[in-house]
Amino acid sequence: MIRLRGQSKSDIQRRASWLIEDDQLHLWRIGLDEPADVVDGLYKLLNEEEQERVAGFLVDQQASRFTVCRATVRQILSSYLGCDPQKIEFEKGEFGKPHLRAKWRKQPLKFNITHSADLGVLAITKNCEVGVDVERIRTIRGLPRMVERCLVRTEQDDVMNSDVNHRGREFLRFWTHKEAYLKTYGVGIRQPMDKVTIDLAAPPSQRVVNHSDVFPDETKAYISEVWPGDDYVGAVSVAGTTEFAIETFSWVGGREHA
Amino acid sequence: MTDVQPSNSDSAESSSPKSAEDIQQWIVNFVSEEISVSPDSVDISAPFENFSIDSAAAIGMTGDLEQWLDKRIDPTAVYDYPTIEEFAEYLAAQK
Repeated sequence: MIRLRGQSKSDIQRRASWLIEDDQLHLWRIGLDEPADVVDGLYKLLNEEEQERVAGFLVDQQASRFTVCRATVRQILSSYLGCDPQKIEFEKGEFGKPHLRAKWRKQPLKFNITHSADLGVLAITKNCEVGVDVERIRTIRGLPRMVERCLVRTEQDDVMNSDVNHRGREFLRFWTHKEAYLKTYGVGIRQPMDKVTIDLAAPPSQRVVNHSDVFPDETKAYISEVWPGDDYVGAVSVAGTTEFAIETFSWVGGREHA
Repeated sequence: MTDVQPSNSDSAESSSPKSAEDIQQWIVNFVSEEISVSPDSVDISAPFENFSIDSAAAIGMTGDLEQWLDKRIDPTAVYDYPTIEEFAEYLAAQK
């Protein structure tokens, strides 16, 4: 299990530029609740479309968390790409997975973002597609029905046989593994979750036991459980079966406030 | 939780067909409770992403709707009908 560090100082300033090797996976932990002046500063890094999205949120807290998450992703990626954060251009795959626009892919950087409550996580790899998911542990509405819809029989038994106080957490462990896996291949939950079988006790390269041929070609993934902090569960998945050296970093409060 | 959801005492009502307006109101109530805002502030023509409904909540909502409407719903349909208005119309038209 990969433990993500929470700390008071940002890692972003530790190096002028960031490099990543083929066999590395970088996981950035991003605290999304920042004071208004930090959020205002970060808002300027967003492009027009992102700023429109900020304006559309019904709840201010969600708008500021989105701002922090998206602007931070720009900041961090810019230090790998060696460009200004504002200049990065994204586009979406068929099912909405964001990636760098074609002209940015000279350096074959891959990334994936997840957020839940006040936590964001950015996963970065080189060449290999990556998917990450974290979820805050919470009471799941209609848990038995969610378990039935999203998990296969063996997984359902694992969850429902666990201590009643831990069932939500156990469900979310399977959920985050499946979502990280499906996000790796860019389909997210457009594929039914119950088509993927996960063995949480297996080594990272063998955790996907069965994918019901939802992907005709490449389907292997190296999946590690991520522990982003108390009250959260998570998983990160990289296409292929190669072992990855996982390094973890923290982003806190923006460059100017680090 | 909301006044349009079924309770044990009105199971007969839960089996009657629901109009797009009934379903809209159900979803508005679900969303407003999920993000703790007044139902009046939920715009039925705004994309679901404006409400920051996460994927687990979206699947949970579909499951609750299945029970209330007593029919199977494709869990990914919410992504094809990205506003409350469109999703409710789609659901009302489903046999």
